[in-house]
Amino acid sequence: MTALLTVDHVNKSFQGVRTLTDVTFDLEPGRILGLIGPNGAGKTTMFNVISGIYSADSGRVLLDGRDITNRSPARIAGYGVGRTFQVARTFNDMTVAENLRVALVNAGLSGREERRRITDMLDRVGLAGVRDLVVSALPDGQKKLLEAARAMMTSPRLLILDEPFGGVSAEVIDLLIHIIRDLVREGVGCLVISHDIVSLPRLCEEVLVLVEGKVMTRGAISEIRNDARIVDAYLGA
Amino acid sequence: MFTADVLIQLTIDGVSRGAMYGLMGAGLALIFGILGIINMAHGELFMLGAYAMYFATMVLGVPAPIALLISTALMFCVGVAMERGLIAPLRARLGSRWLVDGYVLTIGIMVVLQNLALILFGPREFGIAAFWPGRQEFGDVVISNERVLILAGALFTTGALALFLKKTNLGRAIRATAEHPAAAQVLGINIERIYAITFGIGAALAGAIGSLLLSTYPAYPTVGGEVLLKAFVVVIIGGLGSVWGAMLAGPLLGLIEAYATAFAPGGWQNTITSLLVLAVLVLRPQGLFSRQVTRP
Repeated sequence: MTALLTVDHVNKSFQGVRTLTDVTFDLEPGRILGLIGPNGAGKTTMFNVISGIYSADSGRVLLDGRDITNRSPARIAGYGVGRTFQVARTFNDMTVAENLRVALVNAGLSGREERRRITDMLDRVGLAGVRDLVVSALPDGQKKLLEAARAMMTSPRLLILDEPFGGVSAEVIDLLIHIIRDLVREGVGCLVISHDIVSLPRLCEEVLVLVEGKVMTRGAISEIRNDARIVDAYLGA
Repeated sequence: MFTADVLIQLTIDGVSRGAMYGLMGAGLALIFGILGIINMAHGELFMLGAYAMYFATMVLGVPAPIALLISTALMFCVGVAMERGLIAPLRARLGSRWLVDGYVLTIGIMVVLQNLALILFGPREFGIAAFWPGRQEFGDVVISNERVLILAGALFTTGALALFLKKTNLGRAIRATAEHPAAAQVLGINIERIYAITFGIGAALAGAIGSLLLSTYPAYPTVGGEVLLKAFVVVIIGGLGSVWGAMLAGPLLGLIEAYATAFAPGGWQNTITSLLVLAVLVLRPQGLFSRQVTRP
């Protein structure tokens, strides 16, 4: 099967400090890959390179075989990459519904179709009751949920989620896992950064381990758990 | 002796004048909220709008409402061209370190535009007595038609701007970019386009106000300085980067000026305004109507 996402020998430095070194991996459609590693391993930098927020110094990022390396984030979003951020970047001065509507600005839908899609998504993520609430009034967990819903509104083929379970209640984690699994069943590929070693195995079976900007290994969580090198990397031994 | 009629008169004068300050401040705040720079050339955009209005109405004989539309559209194009031609290349070259240079660039644009106006039109003032001569009387309250026109223009423009930002996709994209540019980008919003359009809207607002106030502020090369100062005051009181704050702070400033002129000894008007600005900066630096400073 053709890979949905291919990251091919990507390098990235900031002022001479290497944050990604020769990172290579791929992801097939309808699969979930966890991205784990200690703080400063380059996980979020990797997400930023994929989504176009950072440019890669060298290497390529392909989506469905199309080279999207160093394209603008807006164009990459148009190609079908949706993402969330480590700290939810919701538009706090807008209502919940308006946040979702922003994701449809380029969709060219009629007002009625926009409203229908927003209502469907709010029902799906359980936020229908706070539809017209200004987002600044929401608890952090609901903001995370809203941000994920907003990313899904762009109808992505690849969804990249940065710490979706951070600061989120057990109920919301259950809901998020359910929603992501549904999306993946529809053929969407999903990359997830998470430090939540309890929730991540419930979402995906396979993880990629980044340490000091390099891919240390890739494999089933059950195998990785017992890998002494990874335990050392996390404990700084 | 200040009767109720005088107070009503002062209130109407203050609100109509202040609404214009509010719109100038809103343009400045919009540009700051999106691009992160204080546009020092904002007063010169007002000046260009005033010249455009004068020449359209007095030289070409275009009816005032159409001249207002032409001037506003022209200034939108000037704003977009300034952003694309001067500001965007600087931003692209310097990345995140462009803000101080951008600020200096707008000072340069201000100086160039002032001197260009001086070369082209000389130091003389181009003004008109009134677009709509005459006055309206409501009992003892007398309002000049020009004041009514200015108030109506300010209210219409304020409403149109609020509706645009609140109800249109482009308006929502601008608000999203102001709050979290990266989050807006990953939703498919082309923020370079948003930067240009926002600068254009700010310029169009300044141009529209310069046109509407031609009878109060005639066009001359340095007319923008005084207006820019008012816009700064409004933006500080309302909250840096807060468009809504500026639109509320404008009428507040207008009212304070109007009452200060009537009730305080001569020369105290600017002192009272300055004290208010100082008080806001010390006690509530985020502004009276803003929860927090918006940063790009």
